[in-house]
Amino acid sequence: MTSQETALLIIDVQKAMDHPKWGNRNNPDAEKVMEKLLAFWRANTWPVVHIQDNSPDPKSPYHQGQPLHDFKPEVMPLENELVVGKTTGNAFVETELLDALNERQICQLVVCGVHIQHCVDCTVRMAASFGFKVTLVSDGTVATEVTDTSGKLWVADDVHALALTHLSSYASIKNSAEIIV
Amino acid sequence: MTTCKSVLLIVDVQKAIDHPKWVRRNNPDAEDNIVSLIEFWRREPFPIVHIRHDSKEVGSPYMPGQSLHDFKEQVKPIVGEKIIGKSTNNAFIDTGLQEYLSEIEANHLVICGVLTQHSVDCTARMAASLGYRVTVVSDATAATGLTDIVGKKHSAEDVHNITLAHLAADYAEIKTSNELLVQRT
Repeated sequence: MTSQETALLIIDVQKAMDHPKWGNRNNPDAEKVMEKLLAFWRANTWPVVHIQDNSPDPKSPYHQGQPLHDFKPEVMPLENELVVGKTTGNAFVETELLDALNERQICQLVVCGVHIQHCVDCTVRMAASFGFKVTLVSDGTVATEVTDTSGKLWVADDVHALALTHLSSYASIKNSAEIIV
Repeated sequence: MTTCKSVLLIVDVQKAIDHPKWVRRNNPDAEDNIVSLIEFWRREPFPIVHIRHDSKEVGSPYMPGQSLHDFKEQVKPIVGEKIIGKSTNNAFIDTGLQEYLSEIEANHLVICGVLTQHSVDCTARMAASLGYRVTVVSDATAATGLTDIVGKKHSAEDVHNITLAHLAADYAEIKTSNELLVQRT
């Protein structure tokens, strides 16, 4: 599956994801999984794209200039790796991502990062709509708990499982062990 | 000066939604509520856009030419209303929707239709990312139940409510048709 045409897309893995305002998360080992995926991609010299959220909301921990805006150390980009900043939940909106992928003749994406019910969801659906073959890494993605509109609390594992179920219409869902071979 | 640039976007309300292959949905009154919204929009009149799913998947009841591909009778477009066909769950992809909305200077989209967790979700998120103010009408949208990837069953109501919660977190305001119509009358 993997080749020069397959990019590893790491979404929003910034220190801001640990801010307590997001509530409890699942997959505590997701960063380690992403670190392994990144090492595997680098060892094969396959393309890596880092998506960085630059929230326009000055109070968001993802706002540029906020102390938690930086990437987490496990996924710190190397100088030759592409970093794409975004200001919405969708990494393709008003960014150079689509052009950059086309330029590099990348047609498959392996996606990991946070949060699965927000930026990962939007970006995966959009990528599939554009015709990319998308693989979503179940243990390399993270959800947070959510209270729904009826007041019911969904634990992060349930939010994660439901998001994966929806996204299975757009992407093939794999565990990192099935990808790192 | 035009004071209101609110567009009613009706997503995929075709006869195909009643095909027995889909599992049970919630909000059986969604079509009635959509009709109330349409009547209000036509009276104003404000612009209405009918999104139609033109599936490319052979065997899908949403495929053009299939007997259930047509709009449901209650929500049939009338002359002057825009119809936009789409082939993905995102009404903005390869459709000209964005160009049309710019042309009519829309800045607010009121979204109703099906399914909450697929085309409604995709389209609402995309609209918000593009800078539109988005309202999703909670009783004029419908979801289906499902068994998730780890084997847990979720009712149509639960899928509907969590999808709306995700949308409310970042992309849209959630209103009932009553709240919307009372507010506007």
